[in-house]
Amino acid sequence: MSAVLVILQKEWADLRRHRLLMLSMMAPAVVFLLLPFALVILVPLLDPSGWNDRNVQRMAELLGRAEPDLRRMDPLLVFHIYIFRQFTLMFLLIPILGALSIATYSIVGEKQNRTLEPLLATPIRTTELLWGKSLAAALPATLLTWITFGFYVLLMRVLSPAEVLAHVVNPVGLSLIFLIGPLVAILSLGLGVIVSSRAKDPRTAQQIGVLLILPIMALFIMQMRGFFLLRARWVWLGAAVLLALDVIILKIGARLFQRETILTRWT
Amino acid sequence: MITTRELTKVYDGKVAVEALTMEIRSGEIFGLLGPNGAGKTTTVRMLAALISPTSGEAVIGGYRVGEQNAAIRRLVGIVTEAPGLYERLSARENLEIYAKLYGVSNVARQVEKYLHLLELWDRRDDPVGTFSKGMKQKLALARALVHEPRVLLLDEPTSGLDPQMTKVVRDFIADLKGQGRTILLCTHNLDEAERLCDRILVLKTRPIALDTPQALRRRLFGRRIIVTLEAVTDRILERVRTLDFVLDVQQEDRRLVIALSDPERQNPILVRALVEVGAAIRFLTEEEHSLEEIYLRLIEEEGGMPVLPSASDRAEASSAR
Repeated sequence: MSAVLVILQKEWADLRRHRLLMLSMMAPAVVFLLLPFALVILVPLLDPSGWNDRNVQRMAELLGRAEPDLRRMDPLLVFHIYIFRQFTLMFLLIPILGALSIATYSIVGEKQNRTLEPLLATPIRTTELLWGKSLAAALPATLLTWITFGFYVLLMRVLSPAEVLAHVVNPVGLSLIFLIGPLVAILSLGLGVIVSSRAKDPRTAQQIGVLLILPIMALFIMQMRGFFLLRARWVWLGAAVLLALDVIILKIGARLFQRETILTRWT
Repeated sequence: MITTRELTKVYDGKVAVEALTMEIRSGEIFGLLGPNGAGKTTTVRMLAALISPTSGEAVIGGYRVGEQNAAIRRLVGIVTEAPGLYERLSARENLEIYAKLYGVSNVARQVEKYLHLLELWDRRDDPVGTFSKGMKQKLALARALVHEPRVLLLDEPTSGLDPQMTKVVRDFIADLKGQGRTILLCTHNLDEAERLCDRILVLKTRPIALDTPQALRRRLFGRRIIVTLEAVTDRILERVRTLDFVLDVQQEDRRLVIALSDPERQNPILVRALVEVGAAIRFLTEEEHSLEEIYLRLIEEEGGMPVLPSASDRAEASSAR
């Protein structure tokens, strides 16, 4: 069996037994899945006149300019589309937080438990070890994002009219989830590897996640305020930039991930 | 099996190991003694191909450190200072991971063999986090052995264990020697080194002394006989001093402490001479020095004692090269 697969198996066996880590990964996914439905159901009920405020109207106007058929749609349904699109963006926090949590726990945890030295004494190559750990972090985080998005679509299908679903599950939404999602997961774990080489505690290492969360939050807020509407070509351009960043970050991570460096320089 | 020549490691300008030359023979247990920070762990890491030497060379089983590291890692099993086990995984899972990483052909059989040998079979599916320190240490030993290495590097394998568990681990190491494995044992436990090691190297960044405990004892303290008499008279003392093979004699109450070069040959002559002058001998024993005394003297006199590899070591090392 390849060493990468052995590491992958080991990481997942360990992850399955780490309830707190699993919970910390699942919690944002559940919140981002349920919160938009709570908003589209509860806000109009609790505030029948106030839900269609200036921000919503500005966004509806933007949406209408980009997709003229929305102008003829019931404002409440446009509100649904607005909220569901916003939360599609928030779904990007799931791979960021998930990959970062697993990567930092996996590396800092090995440092804390002093398990790296016997592991590095085996014939495994450091690139295999890094690949194993990276896949172990990126795959579950990405899969969790996709599965949560699957439930999101399913719930939308059940709870909202079909036209809402068509305007949310569009090239922008799909690109965010299936293209940007894995790329931010890789960026997050790459940063996790780099910062883990210095951190003594996984939670300290996870603070680097702010670097990735802030741009997503900025996009979320700016779009919510109606400053702009995320278009497919911008998403693809972002994907290209992310890909370049991923390559750079992974190269830095691989340079740090050398036997001697790990044993003598990682504190 | 293991040869080093002028092996040196420097970290950020700080010398961790300097000019270590030694030869560890196939099938022997070789003790590496030294105070904290003496370079023992650095030496083990270099020999396990985990870190590269700054200068000098190390050859293990014919493979050169720094050039044939993957081959060395297959040849060597290591027990690190901390057991370094995955605590959420079971004993069996821990061993399986390592067996697979070492490319063991029959993983299940090897894992079962060592879990039985180290009496961990009944707890094989329990998380390692629930194990006692002794059990963890035994599992670390099993992990080091699961790929049947010819060379074992043991860094403080009994550190922190209770006497009963220490004995279990120590007996197991002794059994391993019987299987023809070459073992490098780093330890602070001098009693353990005395019991297990064929030869020892005292290291304090630089190697200070290398030989069998017995040979070091002789080189440091010479060989002294303690003769306990019913009474020590001037005549007796005078007679002992006149014996030409007696190197030194001191009186301590009713005991004579006599330095000899070859007690096996000289003791009968000494006893005859004492009896001739009317000495009533109660006991005659050879003075014993513990390894602790040897170690402490070596550490204290570091730099003042040219006791680096014995002539036979140097000859063998050079013939190996």
